[in-house]
Amino acid sequence: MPNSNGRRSPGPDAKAVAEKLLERLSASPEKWFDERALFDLEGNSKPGPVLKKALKQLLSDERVIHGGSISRRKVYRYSDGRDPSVMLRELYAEAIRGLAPGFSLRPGSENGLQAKLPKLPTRVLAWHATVLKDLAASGEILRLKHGSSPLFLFRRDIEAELARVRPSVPSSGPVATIASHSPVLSVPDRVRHAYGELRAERGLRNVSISSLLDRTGLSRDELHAFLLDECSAHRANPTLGEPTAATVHENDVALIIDGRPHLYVELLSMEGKHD
Amino acid sequence: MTNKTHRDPFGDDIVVEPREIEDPVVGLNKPALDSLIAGFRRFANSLTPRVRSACSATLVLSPEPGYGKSYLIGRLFQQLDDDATLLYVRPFQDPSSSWISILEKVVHELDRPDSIHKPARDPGELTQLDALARRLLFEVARDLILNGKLAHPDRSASSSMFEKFPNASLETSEWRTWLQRENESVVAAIDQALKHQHIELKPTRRAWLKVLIAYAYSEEDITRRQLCLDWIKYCPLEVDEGKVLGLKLSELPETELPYEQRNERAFERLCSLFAIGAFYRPFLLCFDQTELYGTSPELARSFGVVLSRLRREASNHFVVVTANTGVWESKVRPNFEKADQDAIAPEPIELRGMTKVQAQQLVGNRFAAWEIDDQVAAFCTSWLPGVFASRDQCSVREVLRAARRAWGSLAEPTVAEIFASYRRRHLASSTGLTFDAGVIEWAVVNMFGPSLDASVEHIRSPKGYLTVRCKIGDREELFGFEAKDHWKRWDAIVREAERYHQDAKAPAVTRSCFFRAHNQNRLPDRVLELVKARTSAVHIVELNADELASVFAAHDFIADVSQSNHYLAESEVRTFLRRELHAIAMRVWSDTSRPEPGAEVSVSLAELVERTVQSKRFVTLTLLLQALPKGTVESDALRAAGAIPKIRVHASPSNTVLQWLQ
Repeated sequence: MPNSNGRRSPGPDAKAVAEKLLERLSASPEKWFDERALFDLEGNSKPGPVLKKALKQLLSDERVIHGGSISRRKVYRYSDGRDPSVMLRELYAEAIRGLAPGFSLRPGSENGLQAKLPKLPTRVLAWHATVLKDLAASGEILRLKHGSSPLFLFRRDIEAELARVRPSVPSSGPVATIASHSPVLSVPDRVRHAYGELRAERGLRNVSISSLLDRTGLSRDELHAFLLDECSAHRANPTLGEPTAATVHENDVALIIDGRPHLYVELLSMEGKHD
Repeated sequence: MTNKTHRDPFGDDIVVEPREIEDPVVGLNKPALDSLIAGFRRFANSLTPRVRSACSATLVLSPEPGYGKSYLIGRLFQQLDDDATLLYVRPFQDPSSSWISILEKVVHELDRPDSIHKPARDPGELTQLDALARRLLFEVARDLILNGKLAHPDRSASSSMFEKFPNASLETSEWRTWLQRENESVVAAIDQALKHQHIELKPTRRAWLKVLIAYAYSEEDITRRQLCLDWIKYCPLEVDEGKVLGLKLSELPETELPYEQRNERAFERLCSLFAIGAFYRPFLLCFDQTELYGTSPELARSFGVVLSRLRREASNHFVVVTANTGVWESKVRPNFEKADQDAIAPEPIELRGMTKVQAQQLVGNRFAAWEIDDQVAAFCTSWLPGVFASRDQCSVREVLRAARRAWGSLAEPTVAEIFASYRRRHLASSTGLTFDAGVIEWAVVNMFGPSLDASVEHIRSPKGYLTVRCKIGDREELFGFEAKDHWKRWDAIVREAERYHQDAKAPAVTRSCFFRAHNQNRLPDRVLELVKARTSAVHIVELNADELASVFAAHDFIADVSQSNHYLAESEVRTFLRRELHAIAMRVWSDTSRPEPGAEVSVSLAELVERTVQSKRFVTLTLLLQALPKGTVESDALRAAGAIPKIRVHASPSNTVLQWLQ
């Protein structure tokens, strides 16, 4: 029986095995499983055809993602429905964000940075350059040079240092705001930068469009044009919010999609589609 | 009978009861669920007993309505089934009786089945309070018996019994006889053990133990169990009733107590309940529909006080608060006192929408639940890509609404149709017509008064029994909302009403009104005689099943509109509802006619409903009525269906379908 993708479904055995595999993976959604652990290969060095078929089906349905390999073993992980490439990219970004505070204040090579990360599979590591670019564009890191060595400065560490030296400086201080308004930055960079600041301040992924407008200093048309493009390209998610709880200004600058006003937006290209 | 046109698999798009949620969609909001579970486990694994531990409330935010807040609570309940006492708390209406209302809801939840998988309680099925009482007894009594501090004829046999059957060890007739015979010494020994743990309970540890044991071992005695629940709710008991439970006079709730103090006593009860439960498992306290606190700054402030006091003064509970981001940030949180801000943990959990893959799975789940054989993928082709054209994720409700349009090209339901579906849900629910003083007070203030063009204001009478005043011209009607039937309290109520009547500028046109539901206990004769002798000062309005259903439906409908669960203007719905409830308001105001009595549903009708639905598997309400004796009214059929656990009533605005559960 063909499924939604026009492919044939596995037989009943493979289906049951697939369910079992999915159950195991979803029980530890943050964990990478190698084949040995995933299939309970007691004594057998390789999975049988039913196991292979079940896994293949789960991969094609995007219920499971293949992360490449760790120590030459193929690894797999539970997917909650997002695009695999976005998930892999976001996993790398999260690993970078998870570096111990103060890491960025020391110079080091890019390889040195990777060495500080937890063990990641090859298909996650492949996003290294892109993610660093994303994080730099969003203002989360600054990429500088110290002599001939690269120096990564995390925004959060700069803020922590500022707070330590001058406790009265608020965390969302003028540094960020000036950067958001900077005419040198392109529209996408200004929006991403402002989004990064607002997200960090509020601790929420969905940021109000009115606050983005205020923070970027862009015109409403400029911001809307950019956000509409991002939504169409599935790099941003609009949400309706609650017009009855919103101010007149918030409703006025809402993003109209399919005739309906959307008050919030989440930018995905740098943050991934899901946590 | 069961063809496609009769079924509306996408009609239900609001979770009414988190204990009855549908099958989960794989991965949907799993990180949020995992995070809540991890937080709960961290708390639960802290020191046992958790008598002194509490933590800030965990906030779950939804960027727009329909992302599954109540559903998430349902999933959390399923996951923590055996590990927590589960409490789902809808908003209170009156800041001055916040704890009374919360305690009322908590006790209602405690009296629900201990297993989340049982929506209704079968005979013999343990309630959450049963489980709590038995496990407390077991935990403490076991240690005492094994250490020789509590005498038992066969210590070694009991040791092996405790080892082998921890959950059933106090269930055998021998043990029950022993417990009954040694009641005083068992209570005294456990009292000492609790004292040793520095557990202070109000009014006394002894009273709590007496009540819990009485509740746990009187499964067949509904009256005795109800007395226990009333005592926990701080409702007054007769002295004789106190004796039934073995309580001293000083341990009985005070019958005449100013309102503020009653509210405070309710909070004390809650703290004691949480503390005594520390020997067993933590309480999971979920505050849902919090948008309603945004309707007034005072309510929002009061909610902040509730969260803050729970955190500071109560123990052994883990609080989850769900909210829509917009209302929370603009109308609820900003009204919290500064000192109450830290009652909420700083890192909120933000819900996600569903992806296209998940949306397709949801459609598949609905088809399976409604036994529809259509191909999911083929059905989704025409509309699903459009929903996700400009987005990567979407609210569950948006997906369901789009699916519904694709399913039958149905027109948007009218306000009247939506209201009717709420009424039917209440009529068809076994607990849907339970007297709720808060909701009736809401109806008087927000529906009855405005529908009569009366001026309405909240008041606080000296004893606190009268809380609302309605005025039209010179005529003044005061309202009180007493749920219980204790004669002494009613005596005080009538005296207060009479004082108002006599002190009024125009006594002839000033009186007080109280409500009773058709399914409540009849008031004691001496109260009825008292009222009868003072008809110019006080009157009691009895609401029948239809009227109660209308009042409760209006409340739920407005609550959902204010949470933006419908795309309707609140003012439009209010106007409609005031019109709908005008006849009841007129009856309350004039008291000229009595309602039709809320007749009990006859056994033969119940059997006929059961047989018809069982044979058809799915049947619309219209077709069911055709199969029933001529003249059977809709509300009787629905009430009959609601009492049959095997029947599920799907009341959507377009259609009402009764399903026989396999």
